[in-house]
Amino acid sequence: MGVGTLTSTNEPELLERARRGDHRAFADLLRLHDSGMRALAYRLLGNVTLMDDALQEAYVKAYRALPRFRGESSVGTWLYRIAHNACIDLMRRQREAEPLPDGEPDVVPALDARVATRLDVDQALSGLSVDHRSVLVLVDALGFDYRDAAEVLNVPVGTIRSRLARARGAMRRRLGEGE
Amino acid sequence: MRRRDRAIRRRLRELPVPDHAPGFWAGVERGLEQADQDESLGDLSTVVPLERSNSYAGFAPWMAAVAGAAVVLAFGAITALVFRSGGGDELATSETVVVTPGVPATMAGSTTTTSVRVADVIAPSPWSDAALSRSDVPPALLLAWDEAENKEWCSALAPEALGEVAADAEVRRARFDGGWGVAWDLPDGPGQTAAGEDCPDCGRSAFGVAGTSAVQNPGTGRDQPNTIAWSDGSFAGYGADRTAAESTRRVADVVVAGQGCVYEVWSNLGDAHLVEVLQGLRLVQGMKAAPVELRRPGDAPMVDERGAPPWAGTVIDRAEVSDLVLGQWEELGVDSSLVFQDPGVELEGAELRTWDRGVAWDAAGGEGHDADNRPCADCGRGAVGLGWQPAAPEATEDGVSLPYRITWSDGSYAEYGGRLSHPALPRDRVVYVDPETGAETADALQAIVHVAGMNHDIIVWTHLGEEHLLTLIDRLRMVSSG
Repeated sequence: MGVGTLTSTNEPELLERARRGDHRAFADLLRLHDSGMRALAYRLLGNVTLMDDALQEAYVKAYRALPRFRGESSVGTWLYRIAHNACIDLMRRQREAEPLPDGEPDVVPALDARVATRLDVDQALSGLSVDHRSVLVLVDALGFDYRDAAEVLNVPVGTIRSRLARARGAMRRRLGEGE
Repeated sequence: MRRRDRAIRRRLRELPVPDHAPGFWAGVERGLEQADQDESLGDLSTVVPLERSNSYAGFAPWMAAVAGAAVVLAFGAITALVFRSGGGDELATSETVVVTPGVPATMAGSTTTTSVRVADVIAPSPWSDAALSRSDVPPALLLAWDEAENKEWCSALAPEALGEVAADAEVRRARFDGGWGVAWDLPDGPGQTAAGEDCPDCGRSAFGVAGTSAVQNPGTGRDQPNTIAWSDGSFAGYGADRTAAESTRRVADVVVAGQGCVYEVWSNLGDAHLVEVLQGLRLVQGMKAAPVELRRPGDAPMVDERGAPPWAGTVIDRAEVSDLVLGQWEELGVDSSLVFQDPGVELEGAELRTWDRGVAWDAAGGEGHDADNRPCADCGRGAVGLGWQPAAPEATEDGVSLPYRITWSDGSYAEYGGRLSHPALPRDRVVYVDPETGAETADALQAIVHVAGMNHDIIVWTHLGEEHLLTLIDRLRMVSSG
């Protein structure tokens, strides 16, 4: 699965109508991708209110940016990228724990195995750095291929590969499953 | 992929995804309408949308009289009020509307829809009055503010008097992550349940005041249908509660001059009550943040405009660069970039190590931060750091970036500010407040350097002060390609 599979057959028509200012068409376009973007925003931000704040901001920004969308990537990738940026912006404003570059998930003290096994996947995920959460949600949870994930996160494909390996390793450790 | 990774992936895919709160899509729709409106108005940055569709029948006659007098007195000071007739897009100048503190421009009984450009402001803000003493403030507010993460840049505001309506009210803390808030619960009457739904007679959270963790920006409150402007630059926009689809709650977004945060005032008792609460707000002695000068991308003047960037012309031989740096570049997909070769100061026992996106110098002691990024007074860890990340997207017009900026003649620029402390805080007041203990520790300063023509940014931080940060930026040099 990838972003491409999220593309509806009437997406081009919706896009065209949205460009002409048809709000309903734009909302329909958003709804094609909304579930995945909710998953991404919720796993990054950790609560529904912030998720909604970020996505509302992202959706309006996307609408404003529609005239500049040149179709160099798929609409889905483009929307996810805006949503991801909105989440990062919001986190920065909220000054939560992980927006800093020195996240160093690999040096998080190893959890006692007995404690770690009690952590569920959700908790383990929320303890990772933003970069690692983003890549895990996009690739492992939503099924993006590396190229689409790289476009969303604005990094080279090689970075997705290495980041994903680290993120999976961090997840294993947090779940007490070792290397 | 390892079997265990496949299992994790399966579990990740099974994680539940919450639905939007009610009213989400209505909020999006309003945002789209606003976008259309902005588009049709062009770049009128001073336009305050003022859709007055409310009837203010609840206003006391004396308020209308005061408003009338204010209109007359202020008329001469209002030089260029432009207002837009209801529903249309054309600008017209056939009518004048004065926005008077505490009294909506549309008086009792009339209902119009207008947009107005405020050319002047006409009255002092409520909080320019004498501050209350702490003993006049509900204990819940004292506690909420004392424990708030934003108290360094968000003074407490408390209502001076609330009248009979609050006689039987109970005041309690209201949760605002990163900020502070208090809510008044009435014994009956309209309110809101803990689930955020209106209740006709529960009285819960009937009104309240909060200093949120959001940073004010030039657009704060300006998208609300009703606005109030004050002579000190303070501003309020109020209207329906946009977080709920069918709520009768009225909410004001308030900017207080000199404060970094967005204040929120709400009432389930109608516009008149909301404005009454708003007009009664005062600062509190001993609960004031030092004035904050917010800086944002595009603000003028820039802190420092320089000539050619320090990395112009001089190239470091790749062979002289640490393998740790080159290894990180390979990991990050960076062919070549800027580095400083050492921290430029004596760091006792300093050792270079890698972190997720760069390298850091750990000293034997002195200021630094722990593995969870919390500043420490004498751990020395991560005293100085250098990193690389994909170039950030252009700052949004309403976003707040790091508050200080250096620009160079080739279009490169650096933004810098506190590493953990809020970006609204000035560079000489970067303090980290531990949310659990309240202990304050000096924060590091961090710069993001945007280099013209480069597809990635350079991260520089130091716990050794602003002068050192600027020295580090001056020491950045380009490395020869691999």
